[in-house]
Amino acid sequence: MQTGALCAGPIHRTARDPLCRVIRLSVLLCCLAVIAAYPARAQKSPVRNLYGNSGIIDMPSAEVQPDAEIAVSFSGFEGYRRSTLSFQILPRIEGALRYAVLPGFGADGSALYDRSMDLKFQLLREGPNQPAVALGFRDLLGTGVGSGEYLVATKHLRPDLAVSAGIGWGRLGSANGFANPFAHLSPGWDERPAGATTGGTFNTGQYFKGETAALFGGVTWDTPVRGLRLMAELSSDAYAPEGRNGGFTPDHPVNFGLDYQPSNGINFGLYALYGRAVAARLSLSANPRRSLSTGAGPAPVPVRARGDPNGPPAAGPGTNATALWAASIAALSTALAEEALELDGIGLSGDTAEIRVVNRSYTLISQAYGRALRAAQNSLPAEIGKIVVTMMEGGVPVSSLSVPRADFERIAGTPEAEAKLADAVTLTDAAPDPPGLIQMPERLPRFRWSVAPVLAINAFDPDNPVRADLGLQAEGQAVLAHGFSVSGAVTKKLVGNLDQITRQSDSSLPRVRSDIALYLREGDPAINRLTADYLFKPSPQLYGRLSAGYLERMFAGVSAELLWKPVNSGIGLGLELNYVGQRAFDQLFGLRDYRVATGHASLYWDTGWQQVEAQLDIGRYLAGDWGGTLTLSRHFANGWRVGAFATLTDVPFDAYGEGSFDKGILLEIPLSWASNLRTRKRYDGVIKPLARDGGARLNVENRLYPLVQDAHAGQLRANWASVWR
Amino acid sequence: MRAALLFLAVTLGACSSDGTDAFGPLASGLRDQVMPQAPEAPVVTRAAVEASPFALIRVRMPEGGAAVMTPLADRGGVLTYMSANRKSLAVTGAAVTGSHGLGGDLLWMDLPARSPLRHATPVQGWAGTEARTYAHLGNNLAIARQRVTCQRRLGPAGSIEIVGRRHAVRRVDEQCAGGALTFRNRYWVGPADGRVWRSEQWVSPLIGTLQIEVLKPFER
Repeated sequence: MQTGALCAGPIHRTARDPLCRVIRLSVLLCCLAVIAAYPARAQKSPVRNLYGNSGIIDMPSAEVQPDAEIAVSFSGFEGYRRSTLSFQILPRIEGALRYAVLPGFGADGSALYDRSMDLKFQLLREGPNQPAVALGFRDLLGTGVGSGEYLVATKHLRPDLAVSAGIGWGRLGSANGFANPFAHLSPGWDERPAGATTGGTFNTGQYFKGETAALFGGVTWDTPVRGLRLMAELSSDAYAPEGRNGGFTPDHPVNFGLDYQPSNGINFGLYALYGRAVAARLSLSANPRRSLSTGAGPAPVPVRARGDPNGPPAAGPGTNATALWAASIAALSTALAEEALELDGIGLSGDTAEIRVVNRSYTLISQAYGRALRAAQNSLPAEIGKIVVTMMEGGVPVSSLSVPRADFERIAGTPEAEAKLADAVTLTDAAPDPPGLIQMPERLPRFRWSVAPVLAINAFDPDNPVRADLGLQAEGQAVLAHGFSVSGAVTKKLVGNLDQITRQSDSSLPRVRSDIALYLREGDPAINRLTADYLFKPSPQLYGRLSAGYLERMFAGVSAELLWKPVNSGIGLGLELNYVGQRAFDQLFGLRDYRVATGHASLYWDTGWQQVEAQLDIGRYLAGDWGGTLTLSRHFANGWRVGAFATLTDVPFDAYGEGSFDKGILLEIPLSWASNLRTRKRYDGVIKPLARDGGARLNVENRLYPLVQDAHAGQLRANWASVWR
Repeated sequence: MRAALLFLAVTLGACSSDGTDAFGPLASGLRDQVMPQAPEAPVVTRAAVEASPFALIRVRMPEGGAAVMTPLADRGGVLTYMSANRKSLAVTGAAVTGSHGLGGDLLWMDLPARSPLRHATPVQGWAGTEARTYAHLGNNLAIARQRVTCQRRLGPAGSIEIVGRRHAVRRVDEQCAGGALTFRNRYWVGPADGRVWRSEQWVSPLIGTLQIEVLKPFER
């Protein structure tokens, strides 16, 4: 199977559709489009070029986008098309993934479908007396059809006029070039080796090599017409690979263009290219750090101090203590329900009350904590001097926030309240079973269900760039005891053409993922998942999970996991062991013959720097291969996550096949980022260019780290101001 | 924008056991965004105001909606007013020192202890300068603080009518500036008792300026 798989559809918090390992690109596009309605930023972002990077027209500049800016760009001319997903990875590092169609590229006139990746490092920021300087790599992985390196400087001569000049190698050193200066330093640099045939690896042997290097440059003028910028450039790209078989050949190296921004987040480009073509571009952009939601919604109840006649109940002479408490707990339960929270239990010891709260509504746990603290303050009897709120996830307590009541009363609503409260509260590991805990009477078993449309998209298949299925997915869960539940999901296709994928797996490994076409064709209806899960907490810093059943669409079996994660530490350690069998293609109850023991030891590290998180998993993958996966991501305060992962195992690159090793990017977008809804729903997506068998991991639900992380110190600190929201 | 939200609504417009109506809270929330309800414009009569056992204020939003709010808590001289649809304002004396539920809310504002806004002050005592800090929650979830200096001067005397009741007032104009921020507040003040019957107060960049009218004053 030489194709990647994309899926879209609503899913629950930590779910990843196992079949497709997935993109939910439509959602991203949709979120980006929403931006159209928002007022323009005061400061303009740099223009994007035909490659979707900060640049001029076809050439790069030394500018970078605002930190975390994410964009999709579509451009084309004379049948050549480029679709690019670009991301400002760090304030000075810009990255892009591209899918390009080059018609008539092959000697036989066939089209080339090329995937590529770019990176640009801004070495110097622009200052009053210095230009911005950047070092960049185009198409630095893979087959290297578009590969080129550059060093470029950009300076604003006036606030509205930027000039760029640079030197390029490879593709960017191919027009009007001169002898590669590096060739003087070291012999062999005048020859640029061909790119790897299987792709997916860094072509370090190519960088800055070749017979020639060339100069390029251009200007960008921000015109007085609102949103309109004009560009002109001298290109150093001769389009030699395209021209070889009679494709596009420039008449001259000068390009002209305009960029128009009708509203924030949408840019159009129109260009006169190389004296012979007209090109167009559309870019849609958003910034994950900047929420589209305003935070409007039901206001929290005001904090009432003890002593207020309408405030917390107080015992007077002759008060029946039991009745007071019963009324108080009932009031607390109602108050929490008004804040869209649920009371799970309450524990008393001395003058401290611990309330356990289930949060199904707030993406930001600090906001859930704030709302729960208010409810507790207003409802608990006046004799309680200290309030502890414990957040529950999946029946397990994940963190406890305690505050002396007098401090809470004193601080609420005052200037610097968020900083003062941060000083007054204590965040601790939640005790599994504190003394005196009264569990709220639960109606067990408790059932939850939902039916929702799902869209599964498969893209990048050379036979047909986009295929899709629209279906319905029904999910259900029965909670049978605290932490113990049975849940499942079933999908039925309504309409689509995913079953027309004809590519056969050519894998020499056990076909643990590459038979995706067979699963897509035969699984209608399909049982995505049907499992019994038990979540538990053996000690304050230790979490456990046991799962058994049809764990995901391709595998069934048993799974056990332990996670050690102190609430105030940025480090977590996990261990997961699974024994699974491959499911039948029809995804009902049958199994195929393949069995495997798979599992990983995991290290989680919230670095605390630029919201960067790292995860290292080492162990045995589904095809029986041993190796490790490194995931680096940025996890923003509002819950957005953008990251990339790569897996290296003992499967050699040539045995792995196209792509050489497993890699991809991941996206998590909370719905509360794009709307004012009180919901924890979010879109999780993994964009993988290929679905192959090496380095494939089991996709089990309810993995523990994502379950506890948002309620721990790192993320709570990041969005702490929302505690008063 | 609408199309995008409709797409989302379709994608999410599912049924579930959590739903309180046929489309679930998600879908109905989206529906409200796609087809906003007509802004709440309560018809208020003097008889209804007099019949209320509670203090009442009427708050007009910049885009035209209005809400009647009543105080739910009185803590340290700060009243928290709330409307039926759960939007709330923290009011210290006559000054809005916080907002909730409106979106882009004012987390806090540090009103100086000697400000005439804090305590009913005869209008002669209003002219002058004071410094304040406005802290609102930005769309990046960070707190944006802006220190401003406000200059007040007395405007013309006259009278205003609020729901069938006429008040003799003197207008006070307040011009505030700090950083890139400038805004103007106005207060219609009872000349002798210093009671503010109507005001126009800037709250946050997203909310803008609210008009607040006291329909029935709060008595401690």
